Amino acid sequence: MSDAVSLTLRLLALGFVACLLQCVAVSQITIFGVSADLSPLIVVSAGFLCGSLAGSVFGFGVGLFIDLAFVQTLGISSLLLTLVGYGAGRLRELRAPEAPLMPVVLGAAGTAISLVGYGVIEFVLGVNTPLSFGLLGTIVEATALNAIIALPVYAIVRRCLIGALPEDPRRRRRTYATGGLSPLSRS
Amino acid sequence: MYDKTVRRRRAVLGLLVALSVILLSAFLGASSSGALGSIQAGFLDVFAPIEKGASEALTPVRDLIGSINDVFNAVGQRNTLRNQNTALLAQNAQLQADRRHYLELEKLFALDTELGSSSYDEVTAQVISESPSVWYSHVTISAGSADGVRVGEVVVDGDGLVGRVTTVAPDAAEVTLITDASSAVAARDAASGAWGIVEPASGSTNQLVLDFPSSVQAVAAGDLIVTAGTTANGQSLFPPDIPIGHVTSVDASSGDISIEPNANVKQLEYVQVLTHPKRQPAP
Repeated sequence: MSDAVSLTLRLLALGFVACLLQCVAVSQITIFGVSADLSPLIVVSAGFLCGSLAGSVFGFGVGLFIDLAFVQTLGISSLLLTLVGYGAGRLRELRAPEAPLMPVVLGAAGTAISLVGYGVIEFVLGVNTPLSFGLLGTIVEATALNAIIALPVYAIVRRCLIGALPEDPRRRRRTYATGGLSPLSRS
Repeated sequence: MYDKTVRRRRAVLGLLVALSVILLSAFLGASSSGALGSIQAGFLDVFAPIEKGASEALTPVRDLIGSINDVFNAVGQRNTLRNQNTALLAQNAQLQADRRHYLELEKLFALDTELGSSSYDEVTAQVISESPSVWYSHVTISAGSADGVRVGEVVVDGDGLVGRVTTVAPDAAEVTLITDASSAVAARDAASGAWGIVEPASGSTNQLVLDFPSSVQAVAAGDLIVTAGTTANGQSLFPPDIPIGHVTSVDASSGDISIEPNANVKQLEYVQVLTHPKRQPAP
């Protein structure tokens, strides 16, 4: 089985299990009054590990699943998570940050974008949304909670995808920079 | 090669964004009974049995994490709960879940007999999933049109009013909770009779307010708020005298009346749908 097919199957399984867990368990557990939201975390992790193309497609799929499963406004989650997955993938491709806490930053950013973006789109579309400073506080709390669990979620996603991940751009860059030009290789 | 990759990446992104916008436009332009609404109801119907199975399998895990959460939230009950949890977890996680289910159902039965809702047919259902978004307060229940549940019917639990059915599939239904932004319930103060509209408090996912009260002075902290059963336009969708919550504070100057809902809408497990009124036997 090729790496691409293996990656696709693993992403499908990961997305389905994560959405199912979100529906039946994670949403029903509140910590400090808010529930964690796994969807932006797994999309960010998948985008960061697999690249922008896979990240955006995965984000679209997860968003569509969430909108269908919860009878929400179709298209909003898929649009936001597509952009979140693409953004995480592009960050990896352009900068390849190596900081160990990068998943925490990405998880918090992805959650904030999806939560705030959801409210903004619904507001712009004229859907009845309870915009207030109190809700802003709830969004901050949910973002902080997601940031706390971002690292273990990233580790789990990485573990699930490790065998099928595309080549790391950092390794590729290092190979290019030193390939055949090192004084040691000439000796 | 690089150009080809970049072009493909941008094309896929553009395609996905366009698809999302098309879905969004089509959804907002169509009625809830249209094609996309049917797809959502169909998806709910297919997904509900899987959710139900997973929900039952994960009940011990949820209970375990819920117990830890209670420890943080209820400082006063911390020691009692910790001892109780330790003993129960040591015995059997499944036994703990069964016991709690039984208590939920017993409370539902008590509510049914006390509040006169026995004049309705009831369908008891398990809450199988909950919306993860802070923008919605919805739950999915394990009963649908095959059990006699219809759109608009009222949902209660052992503590009081929970919400209303908004989408129905054959084996599952979506319930919009009273804490959802779209919810509004005609209500009255059980002590003084002052009436108003119960709506979710702005910016809170588990608090309510009594808007447009007929008399702020007649409402006091601690008063029980119940469904009114009628509105200015006639019969309310909600039967009368179902407890909604207790008044937590009254600000006479601004007219703000805060209510804490009786039902713990963030931790629902079993609910009851009040379906059509029972036929009275012929004299």
